[in-house]
Amino acid sequence: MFRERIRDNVDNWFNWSRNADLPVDRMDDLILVTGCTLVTSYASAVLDDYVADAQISLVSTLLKNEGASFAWGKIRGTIEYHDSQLKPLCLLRLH
Amino acid sequence: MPVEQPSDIYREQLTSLYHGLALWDPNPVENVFTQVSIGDVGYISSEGIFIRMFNVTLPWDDPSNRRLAQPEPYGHLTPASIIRGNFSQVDYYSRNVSREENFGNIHAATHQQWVLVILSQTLRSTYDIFSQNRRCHLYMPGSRRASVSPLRRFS
Repeated sequence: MFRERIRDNVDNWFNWSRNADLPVDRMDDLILVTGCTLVTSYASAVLDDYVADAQISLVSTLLKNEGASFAWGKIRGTIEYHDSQLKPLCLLRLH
Repeated sequence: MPVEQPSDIYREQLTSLYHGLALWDPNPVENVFTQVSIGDVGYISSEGIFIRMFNVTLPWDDPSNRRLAQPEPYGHLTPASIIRGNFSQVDYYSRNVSREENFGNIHAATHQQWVLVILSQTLRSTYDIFSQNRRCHLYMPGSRRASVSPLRRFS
């Protein structure tokens, strides 16, 4: 069902996004969501360099509001990191 | 050599785990939508944010479908069934990752590219991550998943 929908409509969706001045450069950039994972909180880190001995430490503590607090430390090297900052991202609810 | 954005590295490394596209910034866009949903049509911005244009499971003229622009009329989809599941308390690792328990700390290390996904609900966890190459790490204390087709398992 979803496969047919994107096959039959992706041309129209792409033209529509271009007409709406949205930054969609290629048809392949368009996404039809057929599944998702919902979380209450998250913490992510990316090492974007090839520096040897990079290091990062993460301490997480779950909160009563279903969120979590995070404390980053021991950071060495070029590392990008972020988290959901205490506030629950969304309730665990699917639709 | 062009500098890759963290969001690109993150998506590239985690998508190979076959759980879909990994969003560097999974927060919904305020005043546009509250969460990613099945049927959303959109794109991923250069910052790694999913931008929802409209949702094909909703009528084309639903108010939430007009936040960016008015879509062309279409017949909305009604999925026959949605498979839902909860994550259990488990850690997921890509290949070339090892883990050692060390008095409550979790230590992952490798000498090659790797990705670490940790899904757990312990009250307090400490992760020390050491690296000698590009990698990314995603920590999700609790999560649920929905899909219109069976999910592929981690490879």
